[in-house]
Amino acid sequence: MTTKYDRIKGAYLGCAIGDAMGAPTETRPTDLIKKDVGGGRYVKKFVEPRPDTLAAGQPAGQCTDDFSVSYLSSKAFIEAGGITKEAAEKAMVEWSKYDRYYIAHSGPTSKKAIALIKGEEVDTKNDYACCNNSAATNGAGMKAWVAGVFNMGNVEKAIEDAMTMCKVTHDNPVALSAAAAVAAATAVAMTKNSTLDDVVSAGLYGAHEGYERSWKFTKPSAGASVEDRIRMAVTIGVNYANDFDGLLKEMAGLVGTGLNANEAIPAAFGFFVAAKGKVMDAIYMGVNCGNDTDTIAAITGAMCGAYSGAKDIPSNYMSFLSEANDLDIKGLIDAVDKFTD
Amino acid sequence: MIAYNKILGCLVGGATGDAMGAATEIRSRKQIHEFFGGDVKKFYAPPKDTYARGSKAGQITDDFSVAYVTARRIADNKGVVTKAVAKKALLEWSEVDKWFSRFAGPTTRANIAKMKGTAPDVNKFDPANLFTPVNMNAQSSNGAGMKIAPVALFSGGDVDKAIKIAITVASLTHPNQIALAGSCAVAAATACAMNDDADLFKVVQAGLYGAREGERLGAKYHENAGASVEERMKLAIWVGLTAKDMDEAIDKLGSLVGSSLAANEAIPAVFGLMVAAKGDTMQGIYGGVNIGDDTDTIATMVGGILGALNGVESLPAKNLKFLEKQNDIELEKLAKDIDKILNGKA
Repeated sequence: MTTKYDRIKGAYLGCAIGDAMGAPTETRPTDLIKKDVGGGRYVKKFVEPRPDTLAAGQPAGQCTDDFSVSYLSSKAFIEAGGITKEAAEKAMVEWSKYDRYYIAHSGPTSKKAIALIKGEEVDTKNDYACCNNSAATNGAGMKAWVAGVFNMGNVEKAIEDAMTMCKVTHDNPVALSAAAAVAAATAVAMTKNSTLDDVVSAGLYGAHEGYERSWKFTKPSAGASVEDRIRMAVTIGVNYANDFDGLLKEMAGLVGTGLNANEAIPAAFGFFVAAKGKVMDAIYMGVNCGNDTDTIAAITGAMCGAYSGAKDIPSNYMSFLSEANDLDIKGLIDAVDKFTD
Repeated sequence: MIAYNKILGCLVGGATGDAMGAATEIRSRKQIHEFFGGDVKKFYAPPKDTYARGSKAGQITDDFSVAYVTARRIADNKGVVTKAVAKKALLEWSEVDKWFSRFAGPTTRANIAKMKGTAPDVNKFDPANLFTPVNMNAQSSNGAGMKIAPVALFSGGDVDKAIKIAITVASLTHPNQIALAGSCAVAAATACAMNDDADLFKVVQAGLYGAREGERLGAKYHENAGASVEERMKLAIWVGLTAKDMDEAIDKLGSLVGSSLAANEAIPAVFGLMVAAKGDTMQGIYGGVNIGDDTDTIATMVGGILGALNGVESLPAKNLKFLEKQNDIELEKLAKDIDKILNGKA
């Protein structure tokens, strides 16, 4: 039986592995990932990023924003006794002090939000506009699985907490729809006896509710629906579960695997289904799907880890990743386990 | 022989879509309904909280203006499309404040700055300048498609020639395979639509062929990651074909295919809307104007293609003079000059 501890471990490691393994493949399309990064094959291990990627200069195994933000947010929430706006803000400011993460990896939406929290000057020339469509990015979804882990089995609380923690950086209904989808799905994945169907249904519910609820307090935004695209991605995941090439081609070609919340998060759900919740299988899909690979691999890795635990993760990865990132991953997992008792 | 009314239809259709969509741009469809009290089907002065604030009703934005200046200069060059002519037109357009300064999109702006040698100082500290990324995925935007329908008129109805023209002209600002796939889809569809025996089915097929060719030819400039224009077009066409009515098609295209400034959303949405509108010029333009997000660009492309297919009679008769007056442009003269070039009257 998969224990709670094992699921927490699976979620945190799944996110860290996806992020670190995807960092060297980020921005490339699948064919260039195979050609330039994988030596003709799909990438299924940690390699050193090439000089022409965002992660240039990092050693193999070093994470980007996806895991580091999730890690620091989790610590801040434990310290604060729960998920609060203040703790989320504190975590983002703390994160921005890590040169190795912030300089190369702060996304456009988070970067502006952090500057605002710090009281720094930001570009306001488009603030007059009634919508901020360019803030519909995946930086909310990438960390929102934490709200699912902290609220296992409680979908409503997971959705609310995801919006609380993510609106700090993503004041946008499309981005928060994606965040709520990931949180709701993770909250259900964390429970024993949950099925793939249960997780996807919770994700669809989260996407719908997250959009409707956040519309009331965020700056408005146009943009394709996260919920509708999750449906499409899940269909592709089912149809191509046994065809790795076809899966990546269809997911990247039709759903999209870019920085937008309405591409990356649906793709993460599609891979969760195609991998039947198995951590490493889903991560390999994310790492090789092209475009925003590390974020997709990190999200799908976290959801799968919550669903199936850490049993399929190679046992040396924990110490390898902790060392490569100088982070106490086990310490955090222990603390989250204790906090959620 | 290319019918004059098709040439003029392409120009008036494009300008109509741009000017009508300027008022609804960036809003979601729901917000458009809330603000305007329903679908927008006439020219409004844009609200204060959108990009085109300050414009009058009937004024165009970047979409049609860059197409107009480019087509004008190609006509002056006896219809011969070269990189040099296109570049000169682009730079001329970039000096027109009412069009460029206010509206130019991120990719067009960046590449014009590069041409002028005014690109951001790489020595100034900016993490984005620390290295040259292998992929410029953010440049797969719709600015290559938005301007191409009027320019594709110079193909004289030859689809392959239109694709070549699109690559020549659009690669100046959007040298990547996804943006060029979108551009070639629109160019090929426009060229096909110019022919007397054209119908919606043929136009859509030409568009899909253009997307495939554009992706292949565009990869020589830059292979970037991003969803496939062709695959999303197929999805959009399916949505357009199976929706129970135009209203449902607009909503479904917006939520599933998307209607943003990304080439792999905006161009597919164009084809979905044309199918849902059964090829009717104004219904298609209204679809673009009300789909939400990058409405003016989508409506410009729909108007350009369907205006060419159905001729200028498919648009309200008053639009030509009104748009010429509001924007100080000469659509009729340009159409006559293109007519002379294509039909050997020069």
